Amino acid sequence: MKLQPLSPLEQDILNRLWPDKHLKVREIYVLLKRTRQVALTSIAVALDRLYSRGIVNRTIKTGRGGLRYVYFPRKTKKEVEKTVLESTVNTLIDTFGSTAVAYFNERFKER
Amino acid sequence: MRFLFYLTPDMVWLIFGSWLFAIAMFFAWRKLGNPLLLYVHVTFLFLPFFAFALSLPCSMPWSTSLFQFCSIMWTKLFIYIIPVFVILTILFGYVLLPTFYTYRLDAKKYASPQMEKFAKKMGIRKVHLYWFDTMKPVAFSIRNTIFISQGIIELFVGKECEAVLLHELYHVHVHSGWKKFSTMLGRFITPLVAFSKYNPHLAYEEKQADQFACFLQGTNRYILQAKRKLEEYEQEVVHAQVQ
Repeated sequence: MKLQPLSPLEQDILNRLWPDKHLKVREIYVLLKRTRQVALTSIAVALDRLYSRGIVNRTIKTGRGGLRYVYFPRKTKKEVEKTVLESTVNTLIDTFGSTAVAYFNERFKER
Repeated sequence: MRFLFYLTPDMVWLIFGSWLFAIAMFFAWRKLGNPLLLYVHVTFLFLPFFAFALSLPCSMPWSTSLFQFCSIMWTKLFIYIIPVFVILTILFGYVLLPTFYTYRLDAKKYASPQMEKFAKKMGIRKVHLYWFDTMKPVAFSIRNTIFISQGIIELFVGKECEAVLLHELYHVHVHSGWKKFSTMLGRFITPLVAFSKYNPHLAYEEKQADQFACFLQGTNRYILQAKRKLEEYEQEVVHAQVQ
């Protein structure tokens, strides 16, 4: 499955949800507001994108204030990292071909 | 010779008079916004075609085979079908539109005592509120049904949600749905509506709906905040797509 790299906000959100937390949009907003300047709408959009990409899932829960989305991770951190890396490496190889392969070989030799 | 009916003085006056009246009704509709004027415009726009169909001389008896149908009969049938099509579109389109959207959006009934209280004050007999599952903040009304998305509930605080509901209640009260539907139908049927700018009355009603919400809440703060959040959401979506 091809997965685009995550934006910094998406990474932050996922770091709050991993390993297996169930959080509402506003709860994530309160947590992130402590460390960065962010709007509720930005978090809502980011979570919606993560949901449409299948990285997080959501349910609807009734509570005080009415219905609320509760988000939780669908993939573990390792799974997401692996998929993003795979997609990035494949893109680099498709774009740069043998130059990319040669570069990776050199880097792995150095390590 | 009968085929060229438009050469007779009576028919020329009929066409000229009908289309002149149709144009007048079009401008009256633009000025006053009453959908009935739009339907009168459509009727008089197509009246010459019906006169033409009626004037056709073909009186061939019905045949046992469809292929032996007089070709003129097909023309008459086609023209007569137009008003039937328009009436059916209005009946099934407008009447069934809320049901269509309920199924399309997989919307569920949503109880809001607050909205029922406002509807009662406004004298609206029955208003249905439906909720549908999407993060995008969307609210719209069709006939006496209001649809709101989960995004409205997620992103808007209590008073902002109330402002949105009051805005939509105003649209239900003044039957904006019927006007929007008529304008949309007019765009398919008549070239004057298709090529003219969007119905100015609808833009005016949007402002009136906002003012109505402000009036009932005693401040314009919440409706403005709701609009701002909507704009922010749209900008955020575009920004995320670019990234």
